[in-house]
Amino acid sequence: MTYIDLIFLFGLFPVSAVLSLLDRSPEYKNMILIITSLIFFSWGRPVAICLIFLSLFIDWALGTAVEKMRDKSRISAVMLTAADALMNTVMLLVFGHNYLFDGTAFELSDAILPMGMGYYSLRGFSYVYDVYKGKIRAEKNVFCLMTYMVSFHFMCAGPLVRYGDMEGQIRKRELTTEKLNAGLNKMVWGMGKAVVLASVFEKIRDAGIGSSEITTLGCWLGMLGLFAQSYFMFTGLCDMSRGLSLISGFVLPVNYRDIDVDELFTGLVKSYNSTVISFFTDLTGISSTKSRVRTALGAVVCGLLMGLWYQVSPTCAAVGLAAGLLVGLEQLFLKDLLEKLPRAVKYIYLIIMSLLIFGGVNFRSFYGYRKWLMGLAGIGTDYTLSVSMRDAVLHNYVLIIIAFCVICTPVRKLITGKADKISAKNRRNYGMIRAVKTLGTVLVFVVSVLALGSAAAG
Amino acid sequence: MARSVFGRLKAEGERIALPNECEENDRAVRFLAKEMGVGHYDNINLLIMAVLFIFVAVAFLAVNGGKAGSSRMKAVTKESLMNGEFTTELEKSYLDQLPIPDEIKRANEVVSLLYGFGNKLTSTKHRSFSTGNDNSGTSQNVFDRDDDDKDHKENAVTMGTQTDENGNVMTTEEVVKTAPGGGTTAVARTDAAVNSSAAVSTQPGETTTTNNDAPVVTTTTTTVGRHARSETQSSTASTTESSVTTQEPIDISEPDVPTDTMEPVPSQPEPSDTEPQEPEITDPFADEPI
Repeated sequence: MTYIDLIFLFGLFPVSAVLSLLDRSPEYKNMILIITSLIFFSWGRPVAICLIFLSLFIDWALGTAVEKMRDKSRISAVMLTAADALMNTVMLLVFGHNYLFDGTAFELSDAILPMGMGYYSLRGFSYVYDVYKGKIRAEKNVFCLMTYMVSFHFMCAGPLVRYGDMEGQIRKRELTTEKLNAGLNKMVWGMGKAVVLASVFEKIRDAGIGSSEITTLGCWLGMLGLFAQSYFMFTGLCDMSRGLSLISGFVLPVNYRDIDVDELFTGLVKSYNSTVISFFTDLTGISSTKSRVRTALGAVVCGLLMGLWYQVSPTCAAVGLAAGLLVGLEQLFLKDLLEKLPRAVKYIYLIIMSLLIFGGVNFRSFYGYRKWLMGLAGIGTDYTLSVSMRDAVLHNYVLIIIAFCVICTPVRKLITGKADKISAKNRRNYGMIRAVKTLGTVLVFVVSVLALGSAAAG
Repeated sequence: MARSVFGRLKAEGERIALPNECEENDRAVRFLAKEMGVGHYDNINLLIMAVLFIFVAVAFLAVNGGKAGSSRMKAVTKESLMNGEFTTELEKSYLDQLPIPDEIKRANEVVSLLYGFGNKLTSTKHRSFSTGNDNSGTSQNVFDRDDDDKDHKENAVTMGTQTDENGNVMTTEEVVKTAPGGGTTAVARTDAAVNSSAAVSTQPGETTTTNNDAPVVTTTTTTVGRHARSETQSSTASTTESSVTTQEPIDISEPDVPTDTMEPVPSQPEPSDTEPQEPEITDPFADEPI
């Protein structure tokens, strides 16, 4: 089950929200949240519940043991933390997106669970790691830890919240109309991104690099479409996650931020899934070191880990390694060279590097990647544009313009800044802008529901 | 003495710029009123969204869309619970029983008219799909494909059926033919790359073309059932766009299929207005995989 399944949006979630409103005590709310999250988690694979209980108990026991051992025997504490890392890695390998053994006798595709296994295993390990580092105390109440581990709010697209940030909210949180309002709005706009905008770019991607014909513009637009699709799907799910959390009274950290071209490729990488990047930089020691060489080496290791975390496959490992290498080079000397360049050149640098590095994710072999690279340069392609690509763009150009306004920070800030200025003038203007926003939210909701309903109706 | 003290205090008091209390008070009242107004507008927004959400949730849960017979739930057993069959059935039943599914699809198509040029509404009479883009949902990756693999159906030109006004299937074209340089190409890079070929059947009114240099009157009609799309082109000699359909197998078992309309186009078009094309022209990447 995901956030954009109709049965979740208009079945499980409203039931969970209404039930949790019946009592104000956090214990009751946590219980409702655990039950609904377990249903969400194990939908279609009830065996996942056993996995959850098992891994949760191990994390809880190891956390408690690490806290006891930390002062007595440092080596034992390290060993226990490493054991937890191993357990969570095995879980990720077996139940996550593992394509290493595809086509062999050890193929594990049947074991893959339909949930955010990457986030789940990382959350479990981050708890024990934080206990080991002394950032938090080991949790005595297993139900509090369970709420943190299984809550569906951060299941699909993060953020990777640390237990130290959530403990207070798990024990006591309040639900206000401001939170409800902001949560519903955020959820609806996130749904619009994930359902409407992402699907437009999926069509463009399919027309460009998924169709039976290779064209020059298809290679460019198809890959840019893939990036845009991933961006809107991820940010849409993140917004939905934050919205759902606010409706339940939680306040989560932001998991993505605007791309700042002055921060070059390093900034681009850090702007996406930022909480996970932050954890890995913490783990590899980048955040605490001032040495450029150590930072560069840490970036390479971090890139490799991130690639494998996204998907356990050679392609993702190679892409992660390449991204980490470029970040490392920027830390060593490239940043000093490039930061004096005009912003337009920096944008071109970012686009080219992103295409070259992250474009590799789409291909299973170097052969395909090379073919696509040659297609970018027009080598080996007889045609510039395919009819399917032309149709994909023309049929959806209004949505593409909207997507551009969303993704392009200066344009978006111009629009939202003007709206804020007008609404700050007086109450009437505020009401007018608020009404326009409400109308927009309703439209996005209706369009998204129609798209989901239409897809479900076949 | 007292006068001097008073004078000193008065002088000091004049040095301090005290605000006009009434004006400040008014400002504070206005600020509070605005704050209250803000809350008011936000509450209206919350109310609208919550009502909308609950309405859709209740409608989806309570109103039956009419497919109940086909998705009757099986009894809950231990096995069905454990292997996930029950939840799968439950979800299927929920989706099957969505209210007014056809109207939702129709409304979605109407909304998609606003998304850009060229979107069309599905003909309710013919039940064919004409708005979608060709490749949505495809997961193939032509870049990773081995060029030596000749089994793939690249540049499949047409494969469809024509229906009469009542929506009955009239004929089937089972042409899966490699179109030299054809397929979905709109803009040719070089003149040399512009190739043409035409398949003209022996019977009148049955012409299928896959070329860029079409005859004066060329008609390609592809109308497929519910999930496929319909495309009809009447083009001049200068421009013809070939079409690619990636559709489901076609049901040709209709009892009222007339046999006097369109026949399957032969895979080797004859007569043709061009030379036979070499297969490598259609495959832009002829080198061996690394």
